[in-house]
Amino acid sequence: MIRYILSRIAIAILLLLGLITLSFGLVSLLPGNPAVALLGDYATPADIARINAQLGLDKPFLERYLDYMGRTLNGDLGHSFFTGSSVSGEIWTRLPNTLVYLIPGLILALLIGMGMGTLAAYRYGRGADKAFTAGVSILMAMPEFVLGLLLLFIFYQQLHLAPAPLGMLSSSDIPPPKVTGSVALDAVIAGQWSAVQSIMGRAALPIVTMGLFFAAPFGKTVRTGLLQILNSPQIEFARACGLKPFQVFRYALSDVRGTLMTYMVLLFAAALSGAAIVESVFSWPGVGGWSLDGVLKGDVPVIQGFVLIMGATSLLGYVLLDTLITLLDPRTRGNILRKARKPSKLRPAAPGPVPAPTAGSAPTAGPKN
Amino acid sequence: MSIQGLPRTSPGLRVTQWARRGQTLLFNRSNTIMVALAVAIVVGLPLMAMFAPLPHDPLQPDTDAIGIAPGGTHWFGTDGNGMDVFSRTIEAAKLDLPVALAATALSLVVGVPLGLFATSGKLGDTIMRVIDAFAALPIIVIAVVSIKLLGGGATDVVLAIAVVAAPRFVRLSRAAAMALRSARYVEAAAAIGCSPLRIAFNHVFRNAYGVVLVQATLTAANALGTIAALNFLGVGVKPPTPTWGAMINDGASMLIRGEWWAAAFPTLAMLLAIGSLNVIAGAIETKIERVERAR
Repeated sequence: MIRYILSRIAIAILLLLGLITLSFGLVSLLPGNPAVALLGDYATPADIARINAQLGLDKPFLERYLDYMGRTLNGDLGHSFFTGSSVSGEIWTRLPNTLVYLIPGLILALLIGMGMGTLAAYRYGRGADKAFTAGVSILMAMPEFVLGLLLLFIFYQQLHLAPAPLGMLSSSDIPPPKVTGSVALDAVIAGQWSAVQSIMGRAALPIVTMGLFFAAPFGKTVRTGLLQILNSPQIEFARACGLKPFQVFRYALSDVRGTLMTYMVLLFAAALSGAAIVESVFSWPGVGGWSLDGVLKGDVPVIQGFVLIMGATSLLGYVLLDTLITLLDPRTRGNILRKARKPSKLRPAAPGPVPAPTAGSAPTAGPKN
Repeated sequence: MSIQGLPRTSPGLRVTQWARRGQTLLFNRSNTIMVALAVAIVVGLPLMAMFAPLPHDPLQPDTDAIGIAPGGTHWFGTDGNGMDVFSRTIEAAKLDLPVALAATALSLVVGVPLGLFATSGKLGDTIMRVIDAFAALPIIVIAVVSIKLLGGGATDVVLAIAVVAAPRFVRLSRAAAMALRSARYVEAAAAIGCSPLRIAFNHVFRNAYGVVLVQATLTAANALGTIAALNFLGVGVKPPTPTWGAMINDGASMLIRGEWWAAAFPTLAMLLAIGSLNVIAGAIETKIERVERAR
């Protein structure tokens, strides 16, 4: 098993190198000269040449690539063309701001999804299930920003419960002393509970937006998984043994666990990359809005840095996921020991339709043997 | 444990026949009326934008009528620039729906053959690794970067969305090919010497196209949302051109002041289109299930 985990890590490292190459290649192809963008349309050729030399853009392609690879592996992501601030520094101060609403949002989504999905599975075909299915289709059809705007309209404009969508701190809050660079962490460290409270109050609507948006896929997965397992022999047996409903539910849930964890990682990656949308609705000073700004301006190091960090985070998530699933699910371990099994030669092939992956891309990080 | 504690799926506790028939009539996704309505919306909205006379010029700002509430002359009100929301909402369908459908078609054309042939061999493995790497990249960022890369017109949005959506079809058709490749008839076809191309399309794909079609419809619905999200962020659209996403972005600031119409109507139109596509997908799915059961 250790060998399996090590092989996953090795693959992840290779993918990371590929990702660095890809982010370099993708961005090098951007049209327009950054020097022209930086200086405006009236720049003299001499100025452009000077800026190009300053940014290292006059060197040949291969040299730039090797240089970039070396710097990136050392953890230096370069400096923004426009503001001159260090990209890795920016990411370190902004990523916590994004995580402040993203992680609670995903946990909220998991809770809502599990609760609703379980209810729907247990009351299959009845009112609660019908309502759940309808709710899921409505939520699935709703893009994130629509949900965010709807919540804003209801809770800020109509009910006056939520604060205005103007970032993390209001102008009346005293920003905490700078220690780590991220406002939320600093406030906790400095013990400024009023600032923490303010941040939490402002984060409430983004959290609910995330929670509702991602609850639908979770709920759907839980419902489908539980429906299958509730009709399976092992649950029938558990019931026949006279286990309490709660215990039966626990056994049923342990079967859905793997899929749920896969979803958690997939959705985390999706949420990070979609952070720009929520952040632009709520004017949140996170990593998403910053990267979008960089992309729109053609700020090459910012784009590269963002693509890399997002990709690396997802890869890390996949490796953790594979490890966890192998640890938790004995069935996958058996497959590794038996090594590569010839697919579908043993089983009679089912000519039925293949179950379509529900949301977004199919789980990529499932146990592959 | 009591009878009530058992799930409804246990045999003997199912809904009775007449109750189910009633439910089918009310809730069934393949309800003919619903499907007809859905198709009418998806096909009709762009046609209406192209051929029907709009009450106002969707691009003409009227400085005397800024932020007017819905009423007699302006059915859906006017936005912050004084442009008629109704005309713009309809006009936007001309761009949004065809772009979403074209992107889906393109990703189908690219993704399905890749998936059908990526089942085995070094090349297949390589293709799947590349697809995995793509899945690790942030979707919106790929879309934004590629639109930026290409210049930023409607065709570039099509390409970007297709790039984002194609991996899904690769996976799906690959899964189908994997499941079907040891089926009797596929083995028979190979035994009598059919070419791989013929097997892939005539034998494997023909038996899996339903799933792909359902996924394609869902992808189109998804693409509508993604396009709107991109336009909402200001990518892939030039300001006066109306698209639902851009209109929602314009209306957002009015929404916060309490003037809901400029954002609400494009949102409704978009949700209507997405919902219609979902209904169509559901209907196709039910149809396939019925065919499968009849076999």
